[in-house]
Amino acid sequence: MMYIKIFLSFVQIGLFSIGGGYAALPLIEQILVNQNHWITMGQFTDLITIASMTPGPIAINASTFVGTKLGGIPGAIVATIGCVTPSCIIVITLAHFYYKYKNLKSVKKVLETLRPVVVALIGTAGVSIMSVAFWGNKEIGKLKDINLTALGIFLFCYIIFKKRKMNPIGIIIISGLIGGIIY
Amino acid sequence: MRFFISIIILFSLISCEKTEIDSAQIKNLNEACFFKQQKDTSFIEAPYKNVHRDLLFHEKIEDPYFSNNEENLKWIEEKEMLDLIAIGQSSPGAIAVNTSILIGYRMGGLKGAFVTISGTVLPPLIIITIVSMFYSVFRDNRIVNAVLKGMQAGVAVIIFDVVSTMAITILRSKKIFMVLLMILAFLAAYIFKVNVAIVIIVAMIIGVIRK
Repeated sequence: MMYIKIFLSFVQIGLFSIGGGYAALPLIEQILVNQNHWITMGQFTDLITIASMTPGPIAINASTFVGTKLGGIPGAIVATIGCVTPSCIIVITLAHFYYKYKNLKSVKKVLETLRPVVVALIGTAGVSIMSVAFWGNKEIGKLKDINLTALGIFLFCYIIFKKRKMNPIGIIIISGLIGGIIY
Repeated sequence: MRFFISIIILFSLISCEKTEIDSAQIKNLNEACFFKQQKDTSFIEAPYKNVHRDLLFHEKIEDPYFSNNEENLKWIEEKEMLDLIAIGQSSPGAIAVNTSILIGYRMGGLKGAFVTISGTVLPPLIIITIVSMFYSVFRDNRIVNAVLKGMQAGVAVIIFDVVSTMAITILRSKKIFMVLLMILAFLAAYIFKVNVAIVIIVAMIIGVIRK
């Protein structure tokens, strides 16, 4: 019974968190903290810290964290499955239609208009990531507050990435190693 | 009445004939298939009946999972990838999960989607389960923090490269409308913090109206 309740709550989170990332946090807070009282506000703050420190999408991290708290490892698995079920159904349906109709003229036109917009959206994510890497918690944009070590790692990694044609995972591991040694 | 019956008989005859032709043309895919390049003289066997996997089997292409080889192969075109990201971003749920489902579906149907979604979900599932057990130790560990801080710069490198490559493609196309749309979308999402789903829906409406 408990597991069904966990599952259904996370289906809701999966279904209504549009926009990804931090956009989903208010909804997660409402369902987990205010509606079900599964975790306290303090634990929710811990959850955000963990979710943003560890790799992986925030909604998935959140569901695993709360699932583990409520029902151990099976709880974590149930919560995660609940969180991805709506995505699976909706996205596969959309993909099916995309491949069926992508050569229609009107659909082509819409997709064409979407492309620059998507580039811009990825760009905003990129700018946020870069400003967190360079300025951390400080005010963004001030040249004297820039973290020179981070800038150094960035330039070094960018050069080996371009020159050596290294693969992205390798770059992330190298930057982690340099960070571990320097900081 | 007789007219109708004769029409029905005629149609059934036509359809019969068609099925006969069809059954003659249908080839059982369980039989061995062969393929070749246009300029090649001899055929080679295609055991998987899937272009990429067969080419890989005969070592006609390099291993896409090694180093940067996937860039030369272009299994998914850049344009198609942008479309998939658009679908992933505008659907509910985590964007990384949505996009991985789409890529899996594109590469290997439902089975592929299942594989990629497991791949995306498993690492966070395992990491968080471990971390949540002794998370206060993890949070205050200096080495963990240092490594994660270094990785932020690494991630910034990757995303900077992806965005600059894509933006340059758009700028080179010299379509002022597209460039303008890109700048406007960036301003809307970054400065005015408009929800990405709304930005995408508005762009779709513009696409429908545009001549």
